[in-house]
Amino acid sequence: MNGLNRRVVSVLLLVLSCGICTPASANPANRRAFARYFGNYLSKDMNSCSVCHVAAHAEGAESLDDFPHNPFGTQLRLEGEKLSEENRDPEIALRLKLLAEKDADGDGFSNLQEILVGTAPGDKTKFPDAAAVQKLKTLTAEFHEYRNRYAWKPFQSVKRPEVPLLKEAGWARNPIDHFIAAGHEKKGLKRVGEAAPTILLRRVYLDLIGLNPTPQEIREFLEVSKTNPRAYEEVVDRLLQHPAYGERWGRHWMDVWRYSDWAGYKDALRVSQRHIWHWRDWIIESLNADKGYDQMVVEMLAADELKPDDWDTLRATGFLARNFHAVRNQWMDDVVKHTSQAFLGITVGCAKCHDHMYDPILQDEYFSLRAVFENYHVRTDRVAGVLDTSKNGIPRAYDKSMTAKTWFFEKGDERRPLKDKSIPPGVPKFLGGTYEVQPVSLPLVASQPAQRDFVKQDFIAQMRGAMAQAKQPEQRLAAESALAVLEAQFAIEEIEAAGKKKSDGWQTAAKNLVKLQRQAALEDAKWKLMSAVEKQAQAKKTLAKAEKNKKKSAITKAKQQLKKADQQHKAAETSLKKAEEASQAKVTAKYTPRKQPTYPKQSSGRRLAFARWLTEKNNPLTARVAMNHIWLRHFGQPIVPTVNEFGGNGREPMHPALLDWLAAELMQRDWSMKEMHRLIVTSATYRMAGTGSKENSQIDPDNLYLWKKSARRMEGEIVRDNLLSIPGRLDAQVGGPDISNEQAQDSLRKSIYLRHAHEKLVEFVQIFDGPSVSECYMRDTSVQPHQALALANSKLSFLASEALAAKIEQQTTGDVSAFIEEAFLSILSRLPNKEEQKLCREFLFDGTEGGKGTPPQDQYQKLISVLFNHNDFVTIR
Amino acid sequence: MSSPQMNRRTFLGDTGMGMTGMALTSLLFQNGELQATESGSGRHLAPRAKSVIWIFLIGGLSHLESFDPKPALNKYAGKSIDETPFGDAVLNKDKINKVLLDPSKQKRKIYKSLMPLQTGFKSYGESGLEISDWFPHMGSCADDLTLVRSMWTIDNNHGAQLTYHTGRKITEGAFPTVGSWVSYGLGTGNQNLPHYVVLGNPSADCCGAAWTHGSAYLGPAHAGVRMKVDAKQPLSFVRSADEKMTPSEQQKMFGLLGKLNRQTGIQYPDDQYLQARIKSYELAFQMQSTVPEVMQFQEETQSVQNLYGLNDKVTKDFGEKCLAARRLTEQGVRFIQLFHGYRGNAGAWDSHRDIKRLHSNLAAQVDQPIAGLIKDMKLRGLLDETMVVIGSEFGRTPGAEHREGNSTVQGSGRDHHPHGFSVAMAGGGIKGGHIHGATDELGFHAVEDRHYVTDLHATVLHQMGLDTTQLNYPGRQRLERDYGEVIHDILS
Repeated sequence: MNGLNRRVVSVLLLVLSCGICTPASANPANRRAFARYFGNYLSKDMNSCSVCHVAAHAEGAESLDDFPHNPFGTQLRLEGEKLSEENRDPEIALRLKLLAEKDADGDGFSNLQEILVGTAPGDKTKFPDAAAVQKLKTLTAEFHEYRNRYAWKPFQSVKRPEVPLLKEAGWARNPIDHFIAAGHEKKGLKRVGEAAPTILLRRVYLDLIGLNPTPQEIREFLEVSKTNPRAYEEVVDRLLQHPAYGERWGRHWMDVWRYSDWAGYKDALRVSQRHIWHWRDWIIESLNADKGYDQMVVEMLAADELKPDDWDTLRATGFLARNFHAVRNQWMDDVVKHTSQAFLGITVGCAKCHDHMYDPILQDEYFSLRAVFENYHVRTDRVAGVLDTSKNGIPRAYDKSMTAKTWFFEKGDERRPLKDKSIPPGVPKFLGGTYEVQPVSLPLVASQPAQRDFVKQDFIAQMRGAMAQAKQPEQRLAAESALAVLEAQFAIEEIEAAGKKKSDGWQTAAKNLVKLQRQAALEDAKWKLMSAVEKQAQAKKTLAKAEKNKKKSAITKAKQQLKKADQQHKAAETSLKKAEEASQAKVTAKYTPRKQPTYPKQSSGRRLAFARWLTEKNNPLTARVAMNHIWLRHFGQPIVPTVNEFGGNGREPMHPALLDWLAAELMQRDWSMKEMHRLIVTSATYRMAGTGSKENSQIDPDNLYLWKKSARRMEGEIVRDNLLSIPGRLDAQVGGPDISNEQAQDSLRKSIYLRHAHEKLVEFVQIFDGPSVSECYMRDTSVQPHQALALANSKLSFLASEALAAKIEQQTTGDVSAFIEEAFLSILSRLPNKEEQKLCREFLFDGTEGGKGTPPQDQYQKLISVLFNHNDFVTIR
Repeated sequence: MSSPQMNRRTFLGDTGMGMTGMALTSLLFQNGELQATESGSGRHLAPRAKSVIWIFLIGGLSHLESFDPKPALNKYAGKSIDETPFGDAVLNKDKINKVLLDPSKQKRKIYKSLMPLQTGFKSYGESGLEISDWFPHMGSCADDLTLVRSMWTIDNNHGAQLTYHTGRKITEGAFPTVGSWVSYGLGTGNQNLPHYVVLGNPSADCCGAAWTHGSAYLGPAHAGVRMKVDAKQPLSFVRSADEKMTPSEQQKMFGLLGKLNRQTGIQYPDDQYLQARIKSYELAFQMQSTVPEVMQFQEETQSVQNLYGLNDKVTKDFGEKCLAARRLTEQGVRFIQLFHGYRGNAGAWDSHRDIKRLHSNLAAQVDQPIAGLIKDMKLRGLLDETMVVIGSEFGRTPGAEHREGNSTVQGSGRDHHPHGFSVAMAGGGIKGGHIHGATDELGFHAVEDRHYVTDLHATVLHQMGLDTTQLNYPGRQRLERDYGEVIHDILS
C-alpha cells in the first residue's frame, strides 16, 4: 500500500500528464483516491481536474507547468510534501482529512464544506449559497458518519471487531444482539418484542430441521416453558441433533455447491455423474456429525489426496465430480468459476479473457487457478456388493496425470493457447496466504481399487453364484476352475504386494496359477464348444421350420443365425485346440495377471494445497462467505447482498462488523456450524416477532436493520416435505439413490432425494422457486398464482388433506372445536383465534341447518385443504 | 400519491363486507397503491392505451442493421473512425464516458475499424422510413411505426437488460420495472388474469433474471406472472386432484381462505407477501378457466395464424407468443412482456461475431410475428389502444469487433453499444411513420433528442394514463433518472 501511495505522490509532484484535461483524463490515481474518499458525497461538479487545478488553463495543457494548481491543489500538494518529510504515508485520504477544516481559497467556507456542497474549494469566487448553507450541517454530519463507518475490507484477513457497547444492554442475549441493537440505536428504531412461543417454536423447527413441530411437541413446549426458562434452548439442542438437520441444511449447501444429478440422453453423460447422490449423503452425514466447515471444504476438494483409502470420505469429491462436463474446457471453466464463487465469493471468470475489471485478479491468476484442477478427472469406484459401476458406485475425483499442462489462452480463447507459456498452479496473490504443493503418494487400493477386500469378495461371490446357477456340469466346471484361478490370483497379488516377488513361495504360487489358468481355459473352451454345438442344432431347427412356413424374412433371419452359430462352433473348436496344446506345454511362472483398472500411484497435491490455503484462518473470504450464507438462511436476507460476489462488483454489506465477528467466531469455534446456528437462533435478534411498526417501517421499510424478524416463504422442498410429514405420510429414511421423476410423483420421501437435474426437475418444487440446476446461490421468493394452483389442486395436497382429516377426526371424535384446534396446531402450529374458530365452524356446518348436527364428512377434509393453502402454512414467521 | 395505511379496520372491513367466495374485487390491501376497482379510476390522465406489449430482444439488437441504417458505414467501411470527418466528435472520451454510470468500472475498448452494414435497407411506406432488409415485414408496417433512434443507457454490459426495465444499474439491486409500475398504478383490467404477464424465458442470472419482470418494493403482487404458451398444457395443476370438486365448492374454500388470511393480515399489516398471496388465490381460481381459453390458438382463422407465422417452424414459436399477447390484451391484461432470445448468459442477440448469420436468423424469427401482431391488431381496431414496444438493452458498435488472439472474433461482429440505439413503437397513440431523434453519421452517439431508457417508461406510463412524476411508493425515494420524461414528440 505504502509503496503505491508514494508512487501516487511522486506522480503528482513531478508530471501530471493530463493531455486534454477533461475530467476523465486527469491523473487517474489521485482522482480515484479523491473520489473514493468522498464516495456518494462527491457532487458531480467536484469530480473534475479544476478542483485542484486552475480550470482556465485546462485546454491543451501537457504538464503541471501548463496546468498549475489552484490554492486548494497547492495546499494538498504541500501537505503531501510535509507528510513525506515526516516519513508518513502521504495518502490522499489522510491529506483530505487534515485539510478538511482549512479554507484554501479564503472565502469563509472550509475545504470540506465546499467539496460537499459542490463549490470549488480553490476558487474564492465560488462559495455556497444560502440554500446550500442550510443543508451544510446535516450534510457534514452525514459525511462524517459515512467516513467513520466500519471499514469493510473483505480482502483482508478477518479481525474480530469489538462488540459494541449499548445504552441499554438489557435486551441483548449474546454479542450478535449488540451489533444489531447498535444499529437500532443509531437509526432510532424501536424493535418489536419477542415472538409468541408458538411462532418461535415453528420458526426454529422449520429453520433447523425443515419440519413443523407436531401438536404434541407444541403442547409440551408450552408446558415446559412455564417452569423451565431454558425450554427454548433445550429445543434448539434437540433439533441440532435431529437427523433432519443434515437434510435441511444439506439442501441449502447443495444450492451453494450446485448439486445436480446426472443429465444426458441414454448413455451419454453431459454433466455431473451417475450415483452423485453419494456426495449428497456425505453432505447430510457430515452436517449431522458437525464436521467443521473447513474440513468439509478440504474433503470436497481433495479427499482423494487427504484420505485416499477412505471411501466414505471420498464421496465428498462429488463436488468435483459434479463439475464434470463433456467438454473439458467447459468443465475447467465451471470448476474454477464455481469453486471461487462458492467458497471465496468472488467471480474470477472475468479474468479468463483479461485482467479482472473490478478486483485485483490478473489474467495469469485465472489460469493458475485452472492449473490447480488441471490434473483431475473423474472415475467411478465400486461399492460393496455391486461390481457393475453402472448400477452403483462412487463417482470421485483423482489426478489422472501428474504432467497435465495449463496453457495461457490468449484473450481467453481456447483455440489460442500460448504453448510457450505453461502456467503453474497458484492462488490469487491479493488474498495472501501460502500455496505449497506437496505430491501425495497413494496406497495400492487407491491406484488399484479392485485390490480392496470387498471387491475381491464380490468377485468370488460372483463366481460362486455362477457355479450355483450352472445348468450343465460342463458349465459348472468352467465356473469352478475360473474361481480357482481368481483365488490363486488374489494369493499371488498378496505375495507381490508384500514385496516378495520372485521368492520361492512366489515361484510355486505362480506355477500353480499358470496350471490353473490353463485348466480354466480348457474347461471354458469345452463349455463354449458344447453350447456352440447346441446353438447350431437349435439354429438348424429354426431354419427348417422357417423353410416349411416359407416366410422369406424368417428364413433369411434363421440363415443368418445359423451362419453365426457355425462360426461360433469353429471358433470354439480352435480355442479348445489351443487350450489343449497350451496345457501340454512346460509349466512356467508366466501367469496372466488379473485385468483391473489401474490409476497413477501419485497425486499432484495441487488441490490439497489449494484447499489448505482456502481454509487457513487468515484467508479473508472463506469464513465470511460461509457465515453470510448461513445468516441468509436464518434471516432471509444476507449481510453481503451479493452472496457470490464480495468483490468490487458486489454490493456493500449492511452489518459488516457483525459479519466479521461471526466469521471470527466460526473459526474460533473450530468451524462448527452447529455452534453458529445455536448462537444465531438463541439470539434476541432471531427471537423477535415479525409484527409491523408504522414508525419503523417509515425509517427502514426493508428491515435492513432487523428491528423485526421478517417472514420468509418456505422453499418448495419444505412445502412438499411438510405436506407429507404433517399428515404422517412422510417416509423419513435418510439417504440413498435419487428417486426417478416417474416415481417422484407418488414418492413419500423428502424432496432432497428426488432427482434434480437438467430437464428432470420436480414441478411442484420448481413452482415455489426451486433451485436452478446450473447455479443457485440465493433463492428467489415470488408469489405466483401457479403456487396457489399447485397447493390447491395437486394430488399431493389432496392426499395430505385426506390423510390429515382422517387422522384428526379419529383423535377428536366428533368434537368440532377440537378438530379445528388440532387442525390449526398441525398445519399452522398455533391455535385459532375466536374469529378463526367461528369462520371455520361456519364453513364446516355449511349446508346444515343452523349449524346443528354434525358437519358433512367431506367438509372436514376441505377445511384441512384450506389450511394447507393458508399463507402462514408456506410462511416462516 | 396518498396511500391509506393498512390497518385493523381495513382488514376487518374487508372480511366484513359480506364478500363470500370469490366475488372479491381487488380493492383490498391498498396500502400504498391506487384504488383499483374500476378501470381508469387510478389514472392521473386520460389514457390513450389500454395495454402494452413490450417486446424485448435479449442480448442487444444492432440498431444499425435494424431501425437506424447508416450509409456512411458502407462509405467508410474498413476505415478507422479517425479517418472519417466525424472522428473527433465521435471519439471524444468525455462524451463516451458520460453515459456510463461508473465509467472507471466499465472499461470497454472502442473498436474503430468501421464495419459496413451487413444487410441492405430501404424506404418503406408513404412515410419512407428506412428499415433494414432483415426486417421486411416490419418495414411493411412502417406507416404505423415510430422509430426512436436516440436511446442511451448507463451500462455497457448485459446488466443493461435490467436497466432497460428499471432504469437502474444491476449493481444497484432490484427496482420496480415499468410493467410493475403499470400494475401498481392501474390495478387489473380483468379479475381473471394477472395485470402483468411475462411470456418467454426472461434474462439469465447474469443480467437481472427475475428482476427484469420484478416489482421490488412495490411488493410481489405487482411482479410479472410468467405464463407458458402451450395450448396443450397452458397451466400446471389446472384441475383439482379431487375429482368430485366442483368450482362452486372450491370457490367456497377459497372464500374461507381469503377470510382466514385477512385475519392474519391484521397482525401483519405491512406483509406484502401475504397481500400478494391473497390476490394470487383470487386470480388462480379464475385462471383455471381463463388461461386455457386464452391459449386456444386453433380458434383463430388459418389466415390469422399464418399472419403470425404459425405455419412456419422458424416463426412459430415467437408467433405463438405474439398471438398469445394479443389474446391477453383482449382479456384486459395491461402489460405483457415478451422475451425473445434466451440463451443463458447474455442472450442470443449478443452477436460479437458472425453478426450477419446470427442477426439475420434471429430477425427471421421475430420479424413476421411482430409485424403480424401489428397488422392483426390494426385490422381489429385494437392497435389504437394497444402500445407495442420493441427494443433491447443496447445497440451494437459501428466498428467491427476484433479481439486480439481470438480467431472467432475477427471483425465479423459488433460489440455492445450503450451510446446510441433504437427502439421501435406502434399503436397506443404513438405517431405512425415517424422518426424521433438521431445518432451521428456513424450511428455512434445519440445526438438529437437524446433519451435515457426511463423516458421510454414515462412515455408508456403516460399513454396508459399515468404521470410518472406522481408514481411513488410511501417511504421510497426515487431518483430523478428513475422517473424519466415523456417523449411528447412521438405522441399523435
